[in-house]
This record gives sequence, structure tokens and C-alpha cells, in this order.
Amino acid sequence: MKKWYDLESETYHGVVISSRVRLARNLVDYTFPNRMDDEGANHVIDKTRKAIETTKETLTSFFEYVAMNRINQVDKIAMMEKHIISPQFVKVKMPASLILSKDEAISIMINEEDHIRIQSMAGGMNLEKALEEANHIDDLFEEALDYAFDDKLGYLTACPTNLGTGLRASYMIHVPALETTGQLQFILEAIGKFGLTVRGIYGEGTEAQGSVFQISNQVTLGQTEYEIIDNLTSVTKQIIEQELIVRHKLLKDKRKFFEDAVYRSYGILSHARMITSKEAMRLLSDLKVGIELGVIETVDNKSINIYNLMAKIQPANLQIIYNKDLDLNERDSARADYIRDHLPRLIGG
Amino acid sequence: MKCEKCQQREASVYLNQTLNNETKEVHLCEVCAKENEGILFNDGLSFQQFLSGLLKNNKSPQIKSVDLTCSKCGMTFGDFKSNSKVGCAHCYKVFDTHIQPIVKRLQGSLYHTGKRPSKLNQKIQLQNKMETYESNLKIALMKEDYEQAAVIRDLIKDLKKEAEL
Ligand SMILES: [Zn+2]
Ligand SMILES: [Zn+2]
Repeated sequence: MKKWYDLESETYHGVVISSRVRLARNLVDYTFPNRMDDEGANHVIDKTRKAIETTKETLTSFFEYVAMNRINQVDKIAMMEKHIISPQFVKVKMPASLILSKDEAISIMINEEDHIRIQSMAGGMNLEKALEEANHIDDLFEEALDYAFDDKLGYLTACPTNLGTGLRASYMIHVPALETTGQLQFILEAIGKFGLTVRGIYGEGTEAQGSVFQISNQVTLGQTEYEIIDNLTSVTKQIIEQELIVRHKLLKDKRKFFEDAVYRSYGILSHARMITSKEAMRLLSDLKVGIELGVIETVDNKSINIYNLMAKIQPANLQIIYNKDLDLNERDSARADYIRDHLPRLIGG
Repeated sequence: MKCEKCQQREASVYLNQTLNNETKEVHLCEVCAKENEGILFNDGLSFQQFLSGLLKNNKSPQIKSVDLTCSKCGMTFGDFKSNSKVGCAHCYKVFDTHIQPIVKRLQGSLYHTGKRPSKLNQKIQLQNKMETYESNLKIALMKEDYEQAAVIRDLIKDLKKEAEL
């Protein structure tokens, strides 16, 4: 089955990489995971699984169930690198499980910070579709389970920052032009006024790599799900517009420098024998924008699937691809090999 | 409300104090509250420290809540403040007025306007209807409009049946 990130989508010239929503839900009859014993945790796992299995829809073949305490640490980290699970879920000690759709678009974490975390991903600018999918799963759970819900406060969550809708919506965006010209800084400062926040690719406190950022809503209570998404989308559209303006200005004013940078990046990526993930991300970012602006032409006009490549060159994913433990140097070497094998070919190159 | 100690000034500080496992709320004016901070009250009750920080500059009554404990999960309001997570759905009821200013500061709102579980929503709608009927019944009885009261009683009966389905 094709993964969600292999499908075509509206990316606004490559600026929007992906859309993601997450719904936080809890069961009224159990204490929250931070106050739950193993017995309670196992009950929640059983109940949520049964809820999916007994729905009228034939979902069972669409999902796989992963008992988190039966898989090893590298596999967990690899899932985190692909954004299937949260960094926090990697560390969970109590019984926890993952319900994952075969196309990896829907992942449901059981016993993370809340009993249920439904995550839905879509390529490009597609938050509405992602929300619809998540809502659908939410409705199925609700038929079988009793949610913790308050007439005033909405869906009750372990942390008050998720109260109300329990919705965290985000876009993953690639904004190299705004970052190199320093304009991103101004945007980031202004964004708080809209109840939004910007983070690196692996969430709070992580560094941005290859000019890839996540922009998401901070406020979850007092706005409807669609208001939250509309607000996020309209701000993101303005960022896209700015990014495209600056890209074309750079291209017009400094075409030779720009071409040179893109070809050099391609040169290193296609010939390096060792590369760190930070350097790789920076060069892939150059190449991606170079292809999108037509500075460098590839066979079949293929751009790079930055989402997939970004995940595959992270430490745990490399160890899975090459099926062995790798130390730091071996990883840099494996990463260089992997990139050489997966780079688009240049016309006449 | 007047201060419970001096009986003169308006009470603006509400304190929860615990004695023999019984928690009761005491209402004091700011002057008396300051005087008694941290020392034994003349009837042997001990005051906790004031909730500082978040509520300090608030003009609304200050609320002290160190001993508030959720009966369902055992979490205290102090636990909540140190790890910023509640232990269960019931905690939100127990910490109600204490957690509200925090939610308001984080979210800018206290009212959910988004999606509702359809199952629960039906229940809430029935409840609201029931409350309206019951207050209408009271009004009818007060006006001695027994005909109208009988009609409302039938409506209530029907609603109860519906609720059991
Ligand atoms: Zn007084
Ligand atoms: Zn509780």
C-alpha cells in the first residue's frame, strides 16, 4: 500500500510539505495516564481496540495494532522520526499501544499523556481532509466509549493546554528564503498574536533542520475546530506568499549565486561518502528549492520527497534500513549511501 | 460579605482551612488576612500561605487551596501546580474555581464552542429540557394554573420515558 506521503497533493510550489491534526480524548471511567496503574492502562488498551474492531465498518484490515512494550527502542525511535508517534510516547513506561493505518496516515496512541491521541496526516495543504479523517475515528470511538467531556470546558484532557477541542493542527513548511534573509524571525514574533506557535521538525525545543518548520495552534478552547484550522491556514498562506516573493527576488537579483549554490549542493549530495544529518538537510533544502524554481532540471521533472528522505536519513531509520547497529561514523557513511541512491537524476547530468 | 474576623470590612480573601479532616472556607478582609498569615488563629486554626503568583494581582477574591484533593484520583491542587497535569476528569470539578484563572490565562476562554460527543449532547439536551419544564411547572403552580401544570407534568413524564430509552 502506498504511504500517504507518496501521494500527489497541493504543496504551493513545495512550501507546504504536510498537514497534521491531533485530537486528545479521555475515557470518563479511568484516571488519566499520569495517575493510572498498569491494570487500568490495560483496560484502556482493550476497550479502545474493541471499539475499533466492533464498528460496522471493516476497519480491522486497515489497521495494525502494536503493543509498545513488545517492540524495541530503535523501532520506537524510527516511528518518532517518521512522526508516527510523539517523542513522549517513546518514553512511556506503562502498557501502551499504537493503532496504525497501513498507509501510516492515521496513528492512534493509547496511553500517551491522554488515553487516546488520534493523529491524522495528509500531504501538502490538506488540514480539512486530515481533520475529517480524525473526526471519523473519533466518532467511531465515541459510539463505543464514554468520553470525559464537560459542557463548558469541552473534552477534558490531562493538561489544560489541550482542553476544549483537544485539537492541535499543524502544517510542516519549507521556508529557506525567509530563513536565509532573516525575515522568518519577524514572522515568528508576530505569530503569537494569532495564538499560533512555530517549532522545529521534531516538536518543542527541537532545532529546525533544512529550513523545515512546524506551525501550529496554541489555543484549543473557545474556538471551533474549523475556526482553529481557518486561522492557521490563513496565516500560513501569508507565510507562503512571502516565501514565494522572496524566492523570486533572490532568483532575479542573484541568479548566478543561487544556481551555483544549488549545483554545489547537488554535487556534494551525489558524491559525498560521509554526511551528517544536519549538513544533508541543509543541502537537500537547497536542492529542493532549486528544483522548484527550475534552476536545476531533473529527469521526469521529479522533485525530492523531502518528507520521506528527511525521516529515512535519521539515525534509527538508517539502522533499520541497513539492518544493524551503526556508530556515528557508520551512520554518516550509510546516510551518504542512502542519499546517493535516492537522489533524482539531472537532465544531461 | 463582611469579614469573619473584624466583621467590618468587606471580605476579599477566601481561605480553605483544614481542621480534624474537615475543610471549611473562611472569608476575611485583606487587613485581617495579612495579620493572620502563617500564625495560629485564636480558635486554633492554622492558615496556609497565600496563593502567590498567578492570583496575586487579581482584584477578584483570592483563593487558597493547598488541601484540595480529588476524591477519585487523589491528586491535590499542589500536585497539579507542580506538574501542570490533572489526574482525572473529576479533578476539573474539584479544582473548579481554582483552575479557572489558569485555564483562562492559557486559553483566553472558558467556554468550549467546538465539537460535542453526540451521545452526551443528547443527554445534555434532555437535561436542559427537563430543567425548563420543571421551572415552568413551578411557575404554573405558583400562578395556580393547574390545567397548565397538568400539561407540563405529562411532558415531564414523556421526557423521562425518552431518557430511559
Ligand atoms: Zn477583617
Ligand atoms: Zn482527579
